[in-house]
Amino acid sequence: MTYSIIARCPRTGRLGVGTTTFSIACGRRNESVRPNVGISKSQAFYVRATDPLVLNLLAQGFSPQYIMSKLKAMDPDFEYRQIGILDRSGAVSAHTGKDIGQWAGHLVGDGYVAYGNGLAGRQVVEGIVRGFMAQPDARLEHRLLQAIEGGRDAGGQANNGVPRPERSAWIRVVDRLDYPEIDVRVDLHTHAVAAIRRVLEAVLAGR
Amino acid sequence: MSFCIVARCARTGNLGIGIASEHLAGGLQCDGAIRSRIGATLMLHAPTPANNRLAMRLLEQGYAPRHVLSELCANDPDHALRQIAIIDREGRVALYSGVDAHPAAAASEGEACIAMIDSLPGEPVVRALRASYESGASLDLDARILAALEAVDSADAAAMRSVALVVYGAHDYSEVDLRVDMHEQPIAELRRLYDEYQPFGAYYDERAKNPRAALPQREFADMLARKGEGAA
Repeated sequence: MTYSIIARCPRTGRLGVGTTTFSIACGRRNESVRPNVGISKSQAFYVRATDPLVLNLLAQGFSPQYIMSKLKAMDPDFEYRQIGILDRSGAVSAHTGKDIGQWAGHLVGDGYVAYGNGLAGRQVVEGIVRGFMAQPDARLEHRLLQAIEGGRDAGGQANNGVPRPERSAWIRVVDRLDYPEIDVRVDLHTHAVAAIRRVLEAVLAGR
Repeated sequence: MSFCIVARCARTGNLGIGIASEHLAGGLQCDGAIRSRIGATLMLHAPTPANNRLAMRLLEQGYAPRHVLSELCANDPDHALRQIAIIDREGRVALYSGVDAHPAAAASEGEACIAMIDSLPGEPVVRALRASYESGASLDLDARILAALEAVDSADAAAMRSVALVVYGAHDYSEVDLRVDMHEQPIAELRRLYDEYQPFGAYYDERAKNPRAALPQREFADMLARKGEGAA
């Protein structure tokens, strides 16, 4: 159970991830974002080493599509994984394995992947995209927040029709520097998406 | 005000940081501050975010912590404002407190550990951090650092709004990375988070290795809840 967006801001080239999940402390996955290289965010039955490997391959110059084909070839449990890959040019590749269980899926667009598993249905990833596209000129961190809010408002996570709470959330945005411009987390909360809006707004206000 | 402990576990070689801050999301200061099997660093009092990775790269090139410290200072015209802690994979430490740091700023180095605070209440916090850490050698590094943060007098920690606990081991990603970004009692909240997270860490590792046999997380969580009820 997780839903995420990884995206590149078309105006600035900044890269970012917004994610929320039932699991505790999803923001611990900071190895998934590498400035001037890209983002690889694996989820569902993810292997922690996958994202650094993907980013190493991106840094070598391979395309997201080619890297995804490599992952498929080397991983006997590829159908249990869900992965989004974004490079610094905005090229993307996404994979949703057929053995993840419950509803899982992704939508790709120009410079973004919206995806999730253990969701109420397709409307959730559509809600992520709707939130992301609501204010295309806004700063990327706001667009990522609106994206995960859009996913939540479209039904979020569910198991056999029973909603499951979002307990952690994370937004991280990088620019050209090798440390993040924005990195806010909610690690364990009964309404993590609402909580991360409060944290992001407070941090941006410099409070 | 922020205080922290930076340490290396003598048994495992793991490297870890605990930091509490009156600022929001103070844990972000740990970003890039540890490199597995290389070292750990932390800067308090007007930290410059680029320094963490610079320090790690210099350690990786083979410089000793003391030399890295001198390079960081030479590279930074405002270094007199800073406090900097560096520890390497051998447990060697280097510690710097600039002359223009807060008069109450305090720092103390022990056996493969450094405790620092960048303003009032100063010295008592550093003593509490170190005393707890040094008496906790039987604990795993994450638990040991958390206990050190908890050992700070609650009156001294009252202004804290955020906290983080980060440990790196053999991998190029963290073993533990827990954060409370905005909370009235962040250290107590970190303890709650830590205790809740404990059983899941091993579960995620196992699920990744063997997804075909893995219990779905919702069932695992329900099972834990039932166990908790049974114990209560």
